Amino acid sequence: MKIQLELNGPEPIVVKAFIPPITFATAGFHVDWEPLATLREVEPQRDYPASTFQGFLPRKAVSVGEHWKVDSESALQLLKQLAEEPQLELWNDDGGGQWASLRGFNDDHAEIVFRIHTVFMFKDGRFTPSQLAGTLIIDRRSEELIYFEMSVPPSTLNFDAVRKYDENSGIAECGVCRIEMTAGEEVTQALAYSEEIPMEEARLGLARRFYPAQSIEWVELEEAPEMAKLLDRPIHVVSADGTFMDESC
Amino acid sequence: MDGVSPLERTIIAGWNEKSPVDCQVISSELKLLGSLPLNDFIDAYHSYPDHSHEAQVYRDFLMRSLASVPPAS
Repeated sequence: MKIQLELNGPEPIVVKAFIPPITFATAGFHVDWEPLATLREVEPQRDYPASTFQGFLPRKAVSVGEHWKVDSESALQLLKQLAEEPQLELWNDDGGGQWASLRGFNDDHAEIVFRIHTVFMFKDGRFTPSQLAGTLIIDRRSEELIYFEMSVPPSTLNFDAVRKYDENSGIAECGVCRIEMTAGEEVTQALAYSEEIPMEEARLGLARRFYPAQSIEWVELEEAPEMAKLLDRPIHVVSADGTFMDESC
Repeated sequence: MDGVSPLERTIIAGWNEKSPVDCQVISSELKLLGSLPLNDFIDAYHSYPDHSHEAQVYRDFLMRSLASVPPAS
């Protein structure tokens, strides 16, 4: 079943943003490089019109699991509460952009999940969070935004940065950051949707929009030799010193 | 190398020095058939004027590796 989503609820929508000081970076740039040492939200609280969040909704009726592109202007409006100069085009691959998907709905509510890739530009470098993962819950009857959250998921390393020394050279850094934005009241009880996909599946679907390698059916190292013998096929190995996605070193 | 499985041994033996990523083809008997360092792959497709031969360069690597697969016994 396809549903159309609209937002016409009360305005303004108040969004809170939070970036605490970075406490770990492998080369210590969070201590001795000013843009990283002073990285904080631009404004802890800012008002938005509903139209900003309308840009996160599909422009036509969609079914559960379907994807659409979040409006760039809407994404940038929110990102400017986090950083002075955010951009949606990444530096060294084609993984930039912003995608959303309908995770579930019933007659009363609809839940959208999204993934945004951004880079914060500085005069002498740049900061790339691994991703901004978010959720948006809408009251379908009142067309009101109930809850919005967007954050950089915790991980061993979840940002990459480059400190430029001149036009052609710079040094890469990576570390752990915390970046969060919220609006509305958190829905503490799981909503019973009439149609839904698991959160993990929804997030994987969005990751595949950015990374074709996420569509590969990887086999655990321990299982590969037996499977190769059984199928009488060679093993194709990709051995990487790092992650396959989300640009943190 | 204690606790390292036979497959892991083959993978490690095929690592290229200072290469952040290696793509390898290993036979079902766990013999290394080919190992392509990422930077060699990038250099190879960058040697084409429009840098648009990534798939062809990678396919060539796979074909070269598979050409050395021993016949099924």
